Amino acid sequence: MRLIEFDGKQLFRKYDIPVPKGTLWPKTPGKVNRYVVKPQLAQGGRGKLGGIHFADTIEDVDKAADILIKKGLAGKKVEHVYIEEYLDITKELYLAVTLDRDAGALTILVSANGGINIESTSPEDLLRLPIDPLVGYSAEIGKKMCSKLSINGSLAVELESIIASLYKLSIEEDAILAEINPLVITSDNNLVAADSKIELDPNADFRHPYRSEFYASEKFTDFEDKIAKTGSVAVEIDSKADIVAIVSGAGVMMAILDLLVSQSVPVRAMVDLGGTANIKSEDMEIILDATKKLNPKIVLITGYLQTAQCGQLAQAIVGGLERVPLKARVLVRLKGRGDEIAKQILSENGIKVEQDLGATIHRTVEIANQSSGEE
Amino acid sequence: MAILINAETRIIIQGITGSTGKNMAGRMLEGGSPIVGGVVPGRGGKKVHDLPVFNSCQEAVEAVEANASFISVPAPFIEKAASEAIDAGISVIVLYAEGVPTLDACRILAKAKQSYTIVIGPNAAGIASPGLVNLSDLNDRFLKPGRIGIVSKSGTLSYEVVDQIIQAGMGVSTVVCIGGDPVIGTHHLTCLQHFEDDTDTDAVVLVGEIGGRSEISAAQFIPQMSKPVIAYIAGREAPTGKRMGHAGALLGEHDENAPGKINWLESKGAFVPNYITEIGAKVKIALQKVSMN
Repeated sequence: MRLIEFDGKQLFRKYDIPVPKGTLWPKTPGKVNRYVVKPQLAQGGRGKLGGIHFADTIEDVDKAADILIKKGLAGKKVEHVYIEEYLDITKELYLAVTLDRDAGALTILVSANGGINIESTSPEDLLRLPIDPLVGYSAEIGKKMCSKLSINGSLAVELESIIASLYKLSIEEDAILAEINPLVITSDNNLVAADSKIELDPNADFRHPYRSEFYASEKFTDFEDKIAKTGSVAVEIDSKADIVAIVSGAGVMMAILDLLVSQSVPVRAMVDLGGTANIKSEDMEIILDATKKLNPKIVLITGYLQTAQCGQLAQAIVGGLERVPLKARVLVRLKGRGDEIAKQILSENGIKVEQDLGATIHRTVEIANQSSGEE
Repeated sequence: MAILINAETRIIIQGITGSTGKNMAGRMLEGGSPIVGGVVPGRGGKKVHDLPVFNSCQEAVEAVEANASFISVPAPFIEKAASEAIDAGISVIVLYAEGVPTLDACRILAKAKQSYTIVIGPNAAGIASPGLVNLSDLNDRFLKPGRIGIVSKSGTLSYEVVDQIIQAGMGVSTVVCIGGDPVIGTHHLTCLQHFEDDTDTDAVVLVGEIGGRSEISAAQFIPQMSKPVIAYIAGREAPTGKRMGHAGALLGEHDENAPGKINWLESKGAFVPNYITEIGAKVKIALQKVSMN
């Protein structure tokens, strides 16, 4: 779950990481010299898009924020605007705690070249230190980092504290990314987190119930949200296409997408029921209902089930289609445990079941080309 | 000589009284896998399918010399169960659950490293050597012993690959499903190394997908292998920014996409089919090429 900057900075406050005074518009952060008006977007590079405005009065803040909400930015809707106190910056550093998946550990990164240009920073200017999960953070790491950045004295004490806090935040909040870019040194020699980019591990949602209070910044489509409620995962792909595929297994889902697109058959959306595909009738009904709203010409349902029973999935399909009849052509491939029973159940309801994946895809491509030829 | 586990392995199921665990136990018994018991804290003394249930892994190790565990407890409890298995000296653990917090997985692996425990997963279908031992959710009915090794992130894709190999008149030596999460205990490379040393394996099918560098690390080893590697990477058409089912299937750095990985694998000598449906044929071609050299 990606947090908007406002929520990220609230989290920084919780861990004593210094942030500028800030509020979510229409609230404004009291009397300050200058304001920064920041649209809250999921993507980075906001500054490059010209999204950040400076304002000297509340009236100017309101004007800028209003335009952002009404017009959006670079074609994206701006749902929230964050108003911050302007910082007098002398230097921009980079600090992040991120998951190194191949090392299987959180890694701390620092660089003296913070800001927009971090992407073009050469490797020698970026220090990465993986933290052994069993050993954890130690003061030595902070000292190494200060030394790399040539930071001494009281500033070093502050920086070490911020590094330790950011790591603590990552562990305690199950964050797989916590980035401060830039971490600025102000003209009065203080360190302040000028931006916040935090990615929380969705697998840890169960142990952080307060996450529901955050403003979610990544936008799942209505279709994806509806399907998520059934425990399955959906991905909308090509809004101009008219095939929806409901499959068992993420790997197979990707393989089928590859097969269809490589034969010039675009896909509208896909649903992964999971390898175990223990789908209840009510859930299939929700999935088919959401699918119907996408107006597909073809609905492909495929599963090779080795733990669940094909018969159960067949019942769910039949039941679902009874309650949510589709105009689309429904193609089913079912193989595995109880596939004979499934074949029977489906053929009694007018649906022929294919067993071979290659043949099923071939048939799908055939029908897709036919129907587009008819247009 | 199966890799990682064999007919002498002594398996316990942690969470054996749950529906998944009970199901797994039944299948293992049916298929002749060497299962010796289960572990459920507080249910020691009970029986599941006539197998003894113990209160802890330690008890199981002492009573029935368990040395491998299939952990079928829910995701929030995986770290505790894995930790217990590692402490008890279990050598191979399969973490079946999907949804394990990533930092839990990191901690499990760090702990496992200290005792050289082999961890497969999380979010892994498991490992099976047809005819010898099955520590996975692949059904014995759909497996056939033979000389082709498989290492795959996706369990469901491994079902398809096994199918194709059997249809092409061949069989499987060992299939290892390493899981689709971002942080996993065993990567493609380890399995390639084991397969290279396995006298029962003639060729290896490597199944990967977008996200992470497991396939890229594995590719570096291929030039040192005497056996051909047939590599399929799913996700060529996956849109950026969308999580494709698996928690780890997210496009990241540029060469962690499918074309990037395919390039790496091909450049190191892997045989790369265009579609999943061409794997059986590609394995045959690869074996022919190697036997001609």
